[in-house]
Amino acid sequence: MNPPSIVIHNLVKNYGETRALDGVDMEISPGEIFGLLGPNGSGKTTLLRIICSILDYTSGYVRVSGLDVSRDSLKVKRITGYVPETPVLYESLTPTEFLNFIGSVRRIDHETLARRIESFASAFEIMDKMNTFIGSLSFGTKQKVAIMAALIHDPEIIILDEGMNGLDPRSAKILKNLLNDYASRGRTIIFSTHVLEVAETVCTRMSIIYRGKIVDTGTLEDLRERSGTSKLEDIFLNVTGEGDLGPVIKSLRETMSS
Amino acid sequence: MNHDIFELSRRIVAEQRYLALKDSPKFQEKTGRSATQGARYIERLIFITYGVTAVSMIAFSSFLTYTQIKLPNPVDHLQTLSLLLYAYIFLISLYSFIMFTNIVRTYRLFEPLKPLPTRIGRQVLPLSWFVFTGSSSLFVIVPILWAYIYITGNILSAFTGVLWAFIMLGLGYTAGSAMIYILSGSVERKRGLWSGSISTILRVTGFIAFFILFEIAIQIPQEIPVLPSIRGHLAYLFVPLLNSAYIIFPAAQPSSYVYYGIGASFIYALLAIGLFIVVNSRTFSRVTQTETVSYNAADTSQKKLHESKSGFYLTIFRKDVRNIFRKSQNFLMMLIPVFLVLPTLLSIFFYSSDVSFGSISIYYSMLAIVIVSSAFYSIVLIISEGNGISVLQALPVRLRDIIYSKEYVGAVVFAAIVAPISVLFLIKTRGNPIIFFLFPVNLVIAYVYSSLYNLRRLMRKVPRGATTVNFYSFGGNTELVVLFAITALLISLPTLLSTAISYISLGITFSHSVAFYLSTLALNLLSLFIVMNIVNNSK
Repeated sequence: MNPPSIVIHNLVKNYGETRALDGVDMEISPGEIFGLLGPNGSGKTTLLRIICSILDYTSGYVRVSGLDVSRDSLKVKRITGYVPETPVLYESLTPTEFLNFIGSVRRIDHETLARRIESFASAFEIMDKMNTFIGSLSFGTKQKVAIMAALIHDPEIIILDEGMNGLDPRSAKILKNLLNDYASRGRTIIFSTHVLEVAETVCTRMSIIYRGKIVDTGTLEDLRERSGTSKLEDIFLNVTGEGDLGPVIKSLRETMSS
Repeated sequence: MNHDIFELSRRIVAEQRYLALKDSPKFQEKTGRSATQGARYIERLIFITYGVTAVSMIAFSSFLTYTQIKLPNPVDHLQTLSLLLYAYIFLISLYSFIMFTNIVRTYRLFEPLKPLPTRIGRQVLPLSWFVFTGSSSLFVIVPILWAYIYITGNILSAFTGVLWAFIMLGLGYTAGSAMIYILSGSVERKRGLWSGSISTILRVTGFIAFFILFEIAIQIPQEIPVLPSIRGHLAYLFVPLLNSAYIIFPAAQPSSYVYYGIGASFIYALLAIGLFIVVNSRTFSRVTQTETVSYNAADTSQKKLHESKSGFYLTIFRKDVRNIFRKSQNFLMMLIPVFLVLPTLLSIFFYSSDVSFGSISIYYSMLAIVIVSSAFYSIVLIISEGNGISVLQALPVRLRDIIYSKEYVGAVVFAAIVAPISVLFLIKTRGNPIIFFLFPVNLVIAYVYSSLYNLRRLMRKVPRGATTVNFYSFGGNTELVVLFAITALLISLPTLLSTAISYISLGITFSHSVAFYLSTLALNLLSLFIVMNIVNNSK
């Protein structure tokens, strides 16, 4: 069996006095599509940004393909591709210019870059938008450009923070197939989402994170077995202690009708 | 005052500061304890920034006023100094409004208010800027007015002096608004075609030409040829705009001038208010306009999917150039040094034919341009990234690569501005042909090493994982003053040393000397080497 490509041990991240990650342990192997599930503000984005060496951590141990993310920041960034939660791009550039910029910084050879841009653009059906300013594109199209930018260098590790956000069903399907293909080639994929159907159909293994702690990890079958329920939604609500929503909904209904 | 409008004005400023601070560990520590502490921290920072600016204005003009009252005929000298200080209010007002609006536009701070069932008052933008930023520059006139009243016992100047200060502040705001309206319109309409846009160049040139005339009018009124030809009482209606001393210090003029001065000041105040109302409403709609509208002119007909092959630095250079010249708010900021140094340039231009002015005197004066541009472009080149800083942070690029790529953009713009100006001045002073080459080269090298150092200082202040950067991420005006000081120190050392060397070796501080420029060049190159070494070792 291949050694894990991502190893995290007792990871802590504080923002001032707020603890965003509290002793996270995780191991992800090559070929896995690993889902990170959790409610809003549970620490998913912080964890992903630490893995791709964008953010420092307070204490613990994080290795990506054997590299220390705090010491070997540049090397980690070379082998990772990151899609942020909301697509942050240079709005005054066109997708063509932006992807050429990314490709050039990542030192992809000219012909390969051109071929990849063309292939992605036609797969995501944005050929006609490639020379329009990013600032004028819809959210979904910006998301496609952000995905293309993250995958253009064929990274070893792919990190998607709510990667399906804003994608139309066709593009979402293409992305799922693409991720499966990358996984079959031994790439590691981490995928954060709170859309549970996406996690069910895409991820081979997943962790549920709640208030900065990993509360459960395993395949969908493992999680089902441990929680005694079959629906991922119920598993999620049970392990995060948010299972009984009745009183909340009742209170809301009363407020709105009064 | 309508409470809602004031509250909205305060909200806009607080939001600017929040965006600048949110990624800094210190602020995260405060908000980590409680949101209230974070909010208090922001409020305190707004107050402190305002206070520091006001106090430094008073300190700056106290120093200048003190030097004038020690001279014979202090009242005359105070009048002359007042021209500079009132022009200064105008320039600071123009600059700070453009910086302020830049953040409002970049982060679309009016956007969340648009869906609300409320009219976003056009008053919010000027009020927000005036109360929390712009009015701090008014304090620059306090010492000179106090000194004047103390010496002459004339209380009237307190009224006319303050009124004129408000007029200059209003004119600075109006000029800034006009710049945003005229220039941003042209840049945005020409997106994708900017390189060939003769119309954009003409608009910018036209605006700068108009601005130069205005600057001459308020600062060097004796150079306006029309002035002597205005006869009789009419002259005293025009004179105040051209020579504000008539308004500010009416008691120093013959008694009949007093009424003309006061009358004219009211006429100009009314004109300024009218101009303000006309320009303000147009600028407000431009500032709150959704960016998407202005992007529609993009050329979608091209089928090009890849660009010509370029090296690493050229790629980032190209990205920065596009980012700056296609976004009108960034483009405007690149122009600000030109406006800030205009008074110096005009003084040099009008007085450089004086026998006592050699090219070395001009060289010293031109260093002011290096100081302003180096400090300013360093900040602009980083804050033009805005949210894009997170793109850079996710890429495998070293700190020094970012610094050098930004340096290229700044150096090219600086060289484009300084080279023709240098040649113009040298022609005027009939300098040695070798100096024609050494003069601008020295200035450009001084710019390069000082801005490299400034860029490094600023980039190291960007927290790891930052999601955005703006003017206040580095401390706003306070950091700008620090950068001015650092740059002044860095570039004056080789120049002063060179002057000392020439004095010691030849016993004279010579003008038009090739030796001075050669020794300055050697010391500048040494400074460049040292700074590059520091940058190359930056982590």
